[in-house]
This record gives sequence, C-alpha cells and structure tokens, in this order.
Amino acid sequence: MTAKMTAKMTATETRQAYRKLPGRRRGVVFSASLWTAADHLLSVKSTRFQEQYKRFYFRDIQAIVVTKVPRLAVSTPVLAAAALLPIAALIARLRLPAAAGWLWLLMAALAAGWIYISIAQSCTCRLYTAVSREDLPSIYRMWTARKALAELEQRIAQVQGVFTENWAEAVDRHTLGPARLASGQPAEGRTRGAARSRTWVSDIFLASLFADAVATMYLMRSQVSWLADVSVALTVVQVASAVGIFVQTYRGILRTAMQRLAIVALLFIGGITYAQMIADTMTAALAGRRGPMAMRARARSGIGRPIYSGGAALLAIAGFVLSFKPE
Amino acid sequence: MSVPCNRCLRPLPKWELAGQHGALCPECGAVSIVRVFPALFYAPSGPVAAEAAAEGEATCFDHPGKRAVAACSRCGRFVCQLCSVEFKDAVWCPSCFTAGEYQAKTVEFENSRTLYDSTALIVAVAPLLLWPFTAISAPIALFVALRYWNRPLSLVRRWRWRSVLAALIALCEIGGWMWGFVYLVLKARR
Repeated sequence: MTAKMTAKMTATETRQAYRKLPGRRRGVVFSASLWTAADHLLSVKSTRFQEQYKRFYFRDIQAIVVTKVPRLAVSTPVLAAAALLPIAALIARLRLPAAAGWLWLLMAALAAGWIYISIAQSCTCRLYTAVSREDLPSIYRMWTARKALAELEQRIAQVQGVFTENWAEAVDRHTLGPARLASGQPAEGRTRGAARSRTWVSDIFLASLFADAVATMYLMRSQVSWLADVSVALTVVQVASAVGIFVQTYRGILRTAMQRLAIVALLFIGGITYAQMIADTMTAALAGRRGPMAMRARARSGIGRPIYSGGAALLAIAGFVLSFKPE
Repeated sequence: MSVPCNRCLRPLPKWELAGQHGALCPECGAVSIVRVFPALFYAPSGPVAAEAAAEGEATCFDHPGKRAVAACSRCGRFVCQLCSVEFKDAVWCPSCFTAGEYQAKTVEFENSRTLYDSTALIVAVAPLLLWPFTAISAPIALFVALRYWNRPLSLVRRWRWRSVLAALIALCEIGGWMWGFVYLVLKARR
C-alpha cells in the first residue's frame, strides 16, 4: 500500500462529523460560523479564499458571556435586499404602477425592522477558556444566541457536569480566562500594531480615483477623446491597486477600512458601468439602431458623468480621511 | 476576578450574576446572559516535572539525567515525562511530533484551509463588475477550478458546487468572448 493511500485512508478515518450551531455571519468578504463535533466546538472564520479554524474542547470552556449591544451588521442577504428591492420598485413603476407604492412601503418596513433588530435585538458573544478569550462573531442576534447557548450548555454539561452549589459566590476567587487578561494586559491578536492606515498601493488607488473624478468632470464640459481613454486607463489602475489593497490587508500591512473603501469603489464603478451600458442599449433600441452597444460603454451620457465624477471624488475624499486618521 | 461585561469589560457584580434574567452592568447598563461552567473552578495543573534517573536506569534521549518513561512510537527513542507527547493513543518524541508527519494523517490540528472552490468562483464572478476583465479572469477561473478539483474542501462543507459553477461561468465567459471575436471578424469581412 502506498504512503498516499495510507494518508488518504487515515484522513477519512479521522474526519469529524460537524453539526452546525444556530447563527452565521455573512459579510461581503468575512463570514463566520460555529460547528460542534463530539468533543469540541469549532469556530470557522472565512475570508472567502481561506478558512481559519479554532477548536474549543467542551472540557476546557469556562464561561460564555452574551451581552446585548446595538450592532449595525450588514449581511449579504441585507445587501442583496437593499440592492434588488429598489430595482424591483423602479421596474414596477414602469410596468405595474399600482404595485410600486406597495414595494416602497415594504422597503420602508424592512428598513425599520432591520434598524429595530440592530438596536434592540443584537449582541456580542465571548467564550472563555483558561488560556483564551475568543469573540464568536457568528452569534450577533439575541434569538440565535439563546438557541446556541441552550445547545452548548447541554453539550458542555455532558462533559463537565453541572454545579451543585451557587457558583456566583465562588466566582470571585477564580481567574476567568487567561491570567494576563485578568491582570490588565492586552489580549493577543487585538493589537495589530503593524497594520497601517496608508501604503503606496492605497495612495495610488486614491490618486487614480481622484484623477478619474477630475477627468470625468472635464469630460462633461469638453468632448476630448483622449481624456475618455485616460479615464478608462485610470479605471484599470484602480482595479489593479484595489487587488493590491486586498493582498496588503490580508497580510496585515494595511487596515481593513481601506479594503472596505476599495470594495465600495469597485461596486460603485461596476454599477455605474452597467447602468451606463443598459442606458446606452435602451437609447439605441429606442432609436432603432442595432449592434453591440455594450462595446462602447463608458461614462458618456449626461446623467452618468456627474454621478460617476461626484461619487469617485467623494470616495477619494473618504479615502484621504482614512489615510490620515491617527494610527 | 468576576465575569466581565462584554461591552465595558468591567466585572459584573455577584448579585447580578446570581439573577435568573440576565446580569445588568452597573457601569454601562448593558444586559448580559452569563453561563459559567465547572471548568472555571478546576485547579490549574502545574508544569510536568521529569524525575531524575537513578544508577542503571534508562534515560531520556534529550535529557540524559532524567528517567525515561516511554519510547517514541515512531523512532523508538526513550523519552522522559517532560518530552513525551501523547497523541492518537501513542507516545511521540518532540522531534517526530514537530517533523510534521502527523499532519498528513489528521485533520484535528489543521487551523486553516485554502478554499480553491470559492477562489475559482470569485475569480469567475467578481470581474463581471467590469466585464472586459473577464477576458483574463475566465481562463484563470477555469484553471483553478480544474487544477485544484481534488484538493480538500472546507472542514465543514462537503459539496463541490462552487467549482462546478465557477467552471460553467468561466466557460460561458470564454464562449462569449469567442462569439464576440467571430462576430467582429465576420463583420469586418463583409
């Protein structure tokens, strides 16, 4: 039997059967979830390209604390609803005017519901062992916290047993979590001193964003063809430097705020490009012209340019503010 | 030290912890649900001390003055109490354990995995935001989806639908580009 086959067989034998606990955090880049195995809790944090695992054995868990705090967490389902409902309302306005009002009402109700849940029904969850204090980001709503706690309590009680006397009286005499945290020393992993507010990549990104805003603004006044080409070249620079920002954030060189700005900028540029493309195609169709209109898509129309220019300028300014924020 | 509030990190008072309906923090006013388990009250175990070897006794390979308590299940070296690593119902010496040979055989110590299926899907889908980039990204996505098809997935996911979807999207993008080129060439000939 070859070594490869042996390794494959052993890996199959040791494969754990994981069961998902209630609660999941789904961000654009970051997501988190909790899973239970026979003897441990597995915390999974994903950055889309990679998953990080942390195991907490039931025998080692000292305490779990869930605190009610407001959290304006924007998950991908919320983002999708926020993007799709206005589009549906606009389409309904053209095709089915009677339903448009109801859709706007539904959007308002959903927004109000999201704000209420974020403020009144959100929480943070923290788990303690003798050597670690770990935030569990997948548990951020009170109802999932209650469900997850009920399941975890049962599993931990099977391993550790239950208290026979009042633990609240004795809790003062014991150290919860790592001793260095109790003595006031900062937790490991919370101080990311190496992460900077700006790097040369983020500078290029912001400069190209700002230059693109200026170029598009000039294009509104004069029809210079080479300026339109410069705008396209600047968009390519923005995409390349945004990729650089993602890599630097992943390596811990750059702060996550700049990565978020890069994501928003890419979504904005992509959204405007597609809106422009659709508008060009519709204009051509109404005028009775044919041909691949999409190949000529740039920020050409009267409405697209000011929106693009203003949005890019605002994003660049926000980026400059982030860059010079004290580290 | 008592249990701290998650919001302000100040200790929650004992009388609040004893309550059934959550503990109110007197500092920040946040309400916490606290669950404490018996592990908090276990006595901390001190460092393992290896005993000194008497005359004629087997000694540790790395610590000649210490009494051997076991032999490494892989290389056979004698190990003392301090050096013995118990793992998977066997005793290992520190050298064999750190050599990484156990890593290929178990998922119990894995702390990260690269998700090639998600990478392929993102590379296929994300450039659709600025569609001209799909000319470069589609072949890359197809390559990643096929090249890393047999790599292990996430520890907790079991399906390869991301790889399949990434390959399909990449194929569609490549097909779209080919159609575009053919269309332009035919148009130029006319």
